[in-house]
Amino acid sequence: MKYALNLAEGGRILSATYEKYASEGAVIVDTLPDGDISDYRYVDGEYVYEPLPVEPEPEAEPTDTDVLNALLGVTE
Amino acid sequence: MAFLDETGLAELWELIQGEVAKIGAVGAKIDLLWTNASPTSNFAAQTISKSLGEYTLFVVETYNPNYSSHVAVKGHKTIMHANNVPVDNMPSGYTRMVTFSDSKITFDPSYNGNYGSGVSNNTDNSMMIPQKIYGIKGVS
Repeated sequence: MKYALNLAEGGRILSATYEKYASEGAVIVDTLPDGDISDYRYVDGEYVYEPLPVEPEPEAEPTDTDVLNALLGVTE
Repeated sequence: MAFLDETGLAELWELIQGEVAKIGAVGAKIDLLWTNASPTSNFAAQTISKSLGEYTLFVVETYNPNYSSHVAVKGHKTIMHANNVPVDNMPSGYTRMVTFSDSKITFDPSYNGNYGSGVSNNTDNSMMIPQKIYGIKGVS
């Protein structure tokens, strides 16, 4: 079974489907990398493991209770 | 009970074939257009090139946080969302937009949270991962 890769600029793998559903001109490969394929780039016929940097979680906005507790000096 | 001889069976078979052909000629047809070969991998915003000129309606099956299915009309931006009911007219839970044209399928990122202000802070491409896409043609 063969696979068709949908690649972004730089070879980042966006998704994969089976060859029978391939877009015209798609890159066809024999195997997919293990794990999350979006952690890989496909460069010169080879997979390069290069996970995207993890974005930091946005800090949660303080709730009304948090503000009130801070004003009153209440600690939990 | 009457039994059909060989000629009768042949005539009956021809009649059935004719009726099946008629149904096929006027009925809509559904084709499987795309299957995700890595169904649990993160699915970033992307465009999938595809010849879709003969299709008018589409069904997208997604996974995470659960399996859900979504119907889209070609040319319309369709909100796919799962896990929660809309809040204040905005879908909450997990959301991903999809748009079909004659030549491509465009997926936006997946968002976690209310679909509204600040939504760009909540991108989570591990959610609403497309699994299969069906195309419906012959709709009259």
